[in-house]
Amino acid sequence: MIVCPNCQHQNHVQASHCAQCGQSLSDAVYRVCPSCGALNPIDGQFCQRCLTDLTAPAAQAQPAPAPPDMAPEPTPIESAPAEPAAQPAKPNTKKREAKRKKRRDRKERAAQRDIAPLPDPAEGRQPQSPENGLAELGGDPLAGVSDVLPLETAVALPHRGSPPAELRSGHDEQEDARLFSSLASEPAPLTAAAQQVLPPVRAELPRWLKLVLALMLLLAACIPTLSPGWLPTPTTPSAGTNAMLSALSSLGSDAQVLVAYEYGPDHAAELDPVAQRVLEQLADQGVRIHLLSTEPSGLGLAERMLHGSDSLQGGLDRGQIQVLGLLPGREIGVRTLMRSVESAFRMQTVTSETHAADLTHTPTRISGFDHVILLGDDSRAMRAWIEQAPPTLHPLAIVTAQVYPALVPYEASGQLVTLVQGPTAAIELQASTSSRITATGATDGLAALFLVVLCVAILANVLPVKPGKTR
Amino acid sequence: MRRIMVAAFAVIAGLLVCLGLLLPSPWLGRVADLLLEGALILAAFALLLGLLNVLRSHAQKAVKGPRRGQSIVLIVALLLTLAIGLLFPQSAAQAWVFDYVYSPIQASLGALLAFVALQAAFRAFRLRTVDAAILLVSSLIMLFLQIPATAALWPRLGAVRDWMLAVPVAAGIRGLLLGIALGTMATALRVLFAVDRPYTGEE
Amino acid sequence: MLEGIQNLFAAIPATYLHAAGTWLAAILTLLVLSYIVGYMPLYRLAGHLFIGVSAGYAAGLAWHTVLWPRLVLLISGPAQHWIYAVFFALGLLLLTRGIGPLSGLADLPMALLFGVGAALALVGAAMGTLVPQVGVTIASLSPASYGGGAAGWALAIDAALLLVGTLLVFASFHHTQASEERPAPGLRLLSRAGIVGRKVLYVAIGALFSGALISFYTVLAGRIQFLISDWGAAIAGMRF
Repeated sequence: MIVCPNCQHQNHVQASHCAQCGQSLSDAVYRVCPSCGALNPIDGQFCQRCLTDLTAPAAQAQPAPAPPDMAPEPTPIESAPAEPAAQPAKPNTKKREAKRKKRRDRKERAAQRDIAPLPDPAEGRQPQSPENGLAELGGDPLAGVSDVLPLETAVALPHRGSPPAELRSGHDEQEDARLFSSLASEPAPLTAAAQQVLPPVRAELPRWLKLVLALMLLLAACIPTLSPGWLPTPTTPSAGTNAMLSALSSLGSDAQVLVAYEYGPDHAAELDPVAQRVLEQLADQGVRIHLLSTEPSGLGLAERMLHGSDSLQGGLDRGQIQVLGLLPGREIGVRTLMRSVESAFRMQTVTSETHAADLTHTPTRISGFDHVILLGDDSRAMRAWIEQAPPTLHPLAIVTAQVYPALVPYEASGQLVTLVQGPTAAIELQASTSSRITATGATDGLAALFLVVLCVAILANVLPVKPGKTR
Repeated sequence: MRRIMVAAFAVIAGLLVCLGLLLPSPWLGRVADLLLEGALILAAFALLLGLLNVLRSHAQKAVKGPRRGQSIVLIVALLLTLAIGLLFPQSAAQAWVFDYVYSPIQASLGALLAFVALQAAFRAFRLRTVDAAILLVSSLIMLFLQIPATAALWPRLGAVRDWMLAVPVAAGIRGLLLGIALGTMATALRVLFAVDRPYTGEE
Repeated sequence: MLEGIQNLFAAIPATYLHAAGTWLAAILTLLVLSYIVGYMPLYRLAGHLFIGVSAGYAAGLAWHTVLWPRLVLLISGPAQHWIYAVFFALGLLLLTRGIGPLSGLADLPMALLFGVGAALALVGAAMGTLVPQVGVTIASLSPASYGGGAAGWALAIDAALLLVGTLLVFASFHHTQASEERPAPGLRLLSRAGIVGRKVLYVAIGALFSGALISFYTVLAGRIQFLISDWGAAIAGMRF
C-alpha cells in the first residue's frame, strides 16, 4: 500500500498516481520502522516516533522492542526480551550521504515494495506483516500514552517529511488523537454501491393552479344537482346489475339474508341509493334481513337507513329486520362470524327496551343464510370477507367505483357470485325514491368529470408551471 | 424471560388457530373458536384503548399547548358522545349525533379527496415517461367507458368496458393480489415464528 | 335522571331538531371544505371535533354490543362462562398500554391479538386469495373447452392474455430489485418481462385511478347537493 502525501489516501502498491486526488506517488514512499511500526519518509534516517536508526540493516532485522510504557503483549515476532525505550542514536553523516545517492534507486523499487498498512486502532492491534518486525502494542493503541513521543501523533497526523516531533504532546496533538479515535471507532463508510434513500422532494403545485382545479371540480360537482338532463341514460341495466336483481328476486318469504355494512358516511352518496333499493325490495318480498358491520360507522349508516325509510322502519318494528351488532377486529370478527353466529353475537340473554337482538330467528351458522350481501368502500375490508369466508359461501358485493376494479378477479374466480358498482347501478336502476340526484343528473355529472380530467391532462402538458414551495 | 413467555404465547395462540381452521379435529376447532372469541373481546378493548390514548394525549395539550382550544373541543365532544353511547344506546340522541355531526364531517373529508386526486392527476399526467403515458391513456379510457351515457349511445362500448376490466385490468390486479397475498403470508409467518414481535412495547 | 334527560330530548319537536342539525351539518361541511382555500384553523377544528365524536361513538358501540352482553353472561353464569373473566382481565391489561411503567403489562393481550390475527391472515391469504387466484389463472387455453368456434377462440385468447399478463406483472416485482444492479444472465429475460409487466400494471393502476376519481367526485357531488338542496331548504324555511 502507498499512502498519498497529499490526501493520505491508501493506494495500491503498484499505483503511480493517487486514486483519490491524482497526486503523483513517486515521492510517496514510506519506510516502516522496524521498532515501532511507524511510517516515516523515505529519506528520513531516524524514526520520528522512537528515533530508531532506519538506515541500519541490523535494525530492520531485529524484532521490535516494546517501549516500557506501552501495553505489552507478546507477539510471535518478538523473540528477544523487550528493551527499554530506544535510546536516540548518534547521527551518522557519512551513512546519510550514502543513502541519498541510493534514493533514486529506491524510488523505482518503491512501487514494488509492500509497505505495511497503518495499524487499525479500532481493534486490538495484530501484527499485519510479521516479517516487517512490527511490535505488538496491545489492544488500545491510544493507551499507555506517555511523555515519550506520543504514539497517537504519529498515527493520526499525516506522514510528511518533518523534523522529529516534540517529546511532549501538545493540545493540538491530543485533539487530533481524540478525533482520530472517534473516527476510527465509527462504522465503515458507505461503499460506492450503497445509496442513502431520501424522501423525494416534491414541489407543490402553485396556489393559483390549485384554486383553478378546485373551481373546475366544484362546477362539475354542481351539475348532478342542477342537471337539465343533456345525456341519455341506459334503458337496460348491465349484466352485473341484472344478475343481482335476479338473485334477489328469487328469494322467498322464509329466506334469511345477511347484509354487511362495510362502508362509511364518506361513501354513503355512492352506495346508499342502491343499498336502500335492495333492502326495500327484500323487505317487500318478506325476506328476513340481518344487518351487521365490522366498522362502527357502518352500523350508524344501517340505523339511519332503517329509520329513514317507511317500509324499512316497518320491517324493523315487525322484527323482520334486525341489527345484529358490531364485529370489531375485521378479520377476527368475520372469522368468528363464519365459525358461529351465536359466538359472534352473544345477545340472547340481553333484553332492553331499546335494543333486543332476538336471535331465535337467526341462523346459528353462516351456512344458514340464503344470501350474504356485502356493501363496501374499502378493498381491504372486502378482501377480509372473501378470504375468511368458507369456499361454499359466495357473497354478492355492491361496492364503490374505487374498489370495483380491485375485486374483479374475485368475481372471475367465483368467490363473488356478483359484483356490482354502486354509482352506475344506481343510475341503471334509476336510483331510489329518497335520492335527490336523478339518474340523468348523475350521468351528466360523470360526463362533466371526464371533461375536467381531460382538461387537466391537456393543461398538465401544455401549461408551463413554476413549482410552488417544496416539501 | 418475560419476552420469551409473551412470544411463546403469541406463537402458541397463532398455531392453535391455524391448526383449528385447517384440521378437522373437533377439539382443535373448539380451542380455535375460544381464541377467536377472546380476540374479538380484545379487539373491542382495543377500541377503548384508542379512546384512552386520544384522551391522554389531548388532555396534556388542553392544559398547555399551542392549540388548547381544539383539544378542549375534542375532549368535550368525546366525553359527550361516549356518555350518549353508554347511557342512551341506539337512541334518537345518538342517531342525531351520527347524522348531523359524524356523517357530515366524514363525508366532507371524503369529498376533499376529490381535490387531492385532481392535483395528483395533474402531476401524474405530465408525459415525461412511457409509464405516465400509459397511466394517462388508461385512466381516460376507463373514465370514458364508465360513463353510463357511452353505453346508452354506443352499446358496443359497454362490451369494450367489460373486456377491459376482465382481461388487462384483471391481469394487473390479479398480479397485485398475488403479490399482496405472498407478502401477507410472509409477514404472518414472521409473527408466528416470533421473528417479528410487534406486540411488545419495545421499539 | 336518565329518563328525564331522554324525555327532554324527546320533547323537542323533530322539525326543530332536523333544522338545527341541518345548519350544524352545513357549517361543519363548510369548515372542512375551507381546506380548499388553504385556511387551516377551521379545518383543524372540524377535524378535532370529528376525532372526538368518532372515538366516543366507537367506544360506546364496542361496549354496548360486544363487551356488555358478555359481561352479563359472566355475571349471570360465572361457572359456565369463566373464560370471559380471563379475556376481560386481559382486556384490562391491554388498557395499560401507553401508561409509562405499566405499558409492559399489555404485551400479553397484544400477543394474543397479533398471534390470532397473523394466523387468520396466513390462512386467509393462502386459502382465500393465493389458491383460488392461481387456480383460475391457470385456465384452459383450448378453444374447445370454451365451446369452440369464434367465441371459443376469443375466450381462449382472453385466457392466454390473462395468464401472460399476470405472469408479467409478477415478474415486475422481481424487476424492481433486479433493475438496481446488473442482472445475472439467467435473469435478463425476467428483467425484460418485468419491464413489460410494469406497463400492464400501469394499465390496471389507470383503471383504479379512474374509479377513485369517480368515487371521490360522487362524494363531492353529494355534499354539494346537500348544501344546495337541504341547507337551501332550511334557509328558505327560516322565518325572518
